[in-house]
Amino acid sequence: MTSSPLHIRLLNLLSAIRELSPFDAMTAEEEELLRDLLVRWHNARDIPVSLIMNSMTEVSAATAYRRLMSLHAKGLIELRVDQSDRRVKFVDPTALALDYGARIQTVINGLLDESRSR
Amino acid sequence: MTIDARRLLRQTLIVAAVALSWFGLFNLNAWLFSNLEHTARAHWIFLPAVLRPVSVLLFGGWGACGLVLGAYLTVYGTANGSYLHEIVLSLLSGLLPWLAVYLGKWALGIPESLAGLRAMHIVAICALCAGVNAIGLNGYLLLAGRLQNDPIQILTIFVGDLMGAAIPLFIISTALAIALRQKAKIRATQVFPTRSGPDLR
Repeated sequence: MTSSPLHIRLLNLLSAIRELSPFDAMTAEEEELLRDLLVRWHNARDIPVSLIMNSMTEVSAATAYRRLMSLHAKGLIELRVDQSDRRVKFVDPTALALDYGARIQTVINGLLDESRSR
Repeated sequence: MTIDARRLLRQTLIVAAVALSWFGLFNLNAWLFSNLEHTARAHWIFLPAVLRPVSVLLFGGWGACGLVLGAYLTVYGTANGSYLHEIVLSLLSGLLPWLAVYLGKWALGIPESLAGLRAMHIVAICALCAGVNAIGLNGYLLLAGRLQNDPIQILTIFVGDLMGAAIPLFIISTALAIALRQKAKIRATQVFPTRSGPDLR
């Protein structure tokens, strides 16, 4: 009666159910933002909030700020005030965000090992 | 074993698994929330309701067949010897959620693979299942002359189905969130044993 593979439907369903939890980490948009931040943190130490918000051109400033605050509320980023200009805030990773980056790294390493062993 | 035989076995297993899950959850619900029973057919919390959207989303029509069988196992012998009434109630238990899920999928533009399914879609489909079930079941009971002038039963079934779906889904989602977070931490510790993490900055 259905033709799509069952495991695909199960994974999609579990992914949606996971979003229901208030204790869960991120929505897809927040995950995308965190990935973008991980790349930026790799290249530079001080990432101003304004830079992140300006780079998110596809959404309004309010939405961009809300996503940042959501990551902050979920313990994935910290905001650091610039000592020379207190109006400026920088986005820093928390240990949880670093764990997330490490998880991606583990997955990529696993895939590389798998491809090498073939 | 031929492909058709395998398919038949798989479909039989799906129907049996859904039916047994329904039976198990029904009895668990009766044990946990017996004091929240409004009537024999309406509970303020009805845990098996979670199976309606989930089994139809996952297994389609076969999931609905499992719901019919499961409902028959729990309805059997409760209609004072009216087998037709028992069969209709069981059929409605599978047909109504099947209708609600397919209506929901069509309205929300969800493909058969469930790609793009979001949490809000699940909430909407659960609400739709609860609404269609409350109206459909009470509509049938009214036509059959078995509603006993109790309009609050419509609300009871709607709330019961909604709560019955929300509680298990909340437990599953929280368990998934905690498990995935723990797994991520374990992986990170394996990669970076000192827990200092990589210098991503």
